[in-house]
Amino acid sequence: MIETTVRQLLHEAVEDHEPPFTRDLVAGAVRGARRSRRRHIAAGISVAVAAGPALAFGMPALAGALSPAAQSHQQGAAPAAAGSNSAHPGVTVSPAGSPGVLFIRPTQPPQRAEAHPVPITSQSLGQLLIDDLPADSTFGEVEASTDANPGATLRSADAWFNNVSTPAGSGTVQVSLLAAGQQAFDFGCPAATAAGVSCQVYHLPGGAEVAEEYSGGPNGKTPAQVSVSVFRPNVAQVNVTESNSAMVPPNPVSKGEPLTLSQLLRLALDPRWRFTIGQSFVQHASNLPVAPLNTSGS
Amino acid sequence: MDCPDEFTEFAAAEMARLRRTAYLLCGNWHTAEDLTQIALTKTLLSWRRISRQQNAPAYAHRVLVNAYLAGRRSRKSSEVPVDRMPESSAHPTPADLRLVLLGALATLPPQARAVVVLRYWEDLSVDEVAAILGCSTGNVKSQSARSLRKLRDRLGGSLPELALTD
Repeated sequence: MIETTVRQLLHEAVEDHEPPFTRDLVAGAVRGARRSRRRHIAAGISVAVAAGPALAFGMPALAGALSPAAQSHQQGAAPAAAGSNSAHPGVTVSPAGSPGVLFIRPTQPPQRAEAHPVPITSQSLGQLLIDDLPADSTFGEVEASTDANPGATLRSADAWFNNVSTPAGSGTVQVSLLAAGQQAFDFGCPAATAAGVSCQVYHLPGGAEVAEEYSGGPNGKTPAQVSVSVFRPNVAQVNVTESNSAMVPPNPVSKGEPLTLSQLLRLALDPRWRFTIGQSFVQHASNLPVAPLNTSGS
Repeated sequence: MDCPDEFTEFAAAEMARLRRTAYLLCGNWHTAEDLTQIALTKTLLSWRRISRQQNAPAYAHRVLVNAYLAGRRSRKSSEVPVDRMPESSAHPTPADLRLVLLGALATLPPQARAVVVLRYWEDLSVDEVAAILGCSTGNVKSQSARSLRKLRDRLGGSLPELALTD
């Protein structure tokens, strides 16, 4: 019977010469799902903006949402980077980029070992994100979560701001951590970038890689998204994404993203983004009010 | 994006089979990994819904096949169907036969190839294949019969010792 022959040959064809997996598909799927979720949310926001009336943008005050410790840390934090979107020191122009999109050649900051490292907490994640924002930022509630089970096959942690405002612009800032193995799985620029997407990858000493990606947002009507991903072998894969649309009703689209690219890059390259952090930092952040991550997009 | 442990377990258990199916659909392991990752990503995005319905494997396979078909629709295939298979030795080895089969599969239209893979590799019923491909059972039966006839024609010369009958 031809069916039997075909069945037998199909099984032999795949089972006899099956190569090992070249990357961690599960981790790649999680990263892809996150990106997809963000794009979905951004698309929803653009529809809402197109359909809705023009509404004034009012940013909720942050002071009441933060603990005294967090407030003092916020006030005392040094500016992450000065400058505006129009002035990037050390810029390089994306070879395949959209007109006017500039990328910055990253420089790896010093990597310091944490004293008395302990597993990172959701409060520590939120506090790190607050620390890495410019001092003149205003923001709403921080959402954060980390794996309850450090022994999970795939570890992830997130810290999000759904509304951040700076002199440069307003929108969202989100950090996602994934445990990283030896290989940078599903990392870097897509093989074929879609229209309106620019992407560039840099290789740093020690095996680290940095990918900068910009998408969308012509004429300030549709949300733009800027993403910096950092891969450090055997430590963590960090993805920081900002958008110029706040993920809170009425989901306004700002004319600029909240962070300049140099500020975003500095945030992503902060060596403290990993799954362990100093015990003193955990204690410092322990009173920060943190909301659970809302991935529903609502 | 939350990643429930149940999804991690599901993906670890299913990804090898998904990749094998993808390989038979697309013909190379690299693209097979891409398709598998697409399937896992979309499954994770809908995890809350589909895990409640306990049909995650079927959902992932449906996404995989649809991703393959969508990819074939959206770009010109790099595979060039040919009328004749490459010459093989007079006494083909089992490895030769597998290559001949894979080559013959590549000559089938994408949906017909999906029918063959789902029916004879995944061992799905006609009804299940029709549900995945979004077509009628009659369509699956006719595509299956046509595809088998083509494969028999291709393999016939390589398998003179087998009595190949419908």
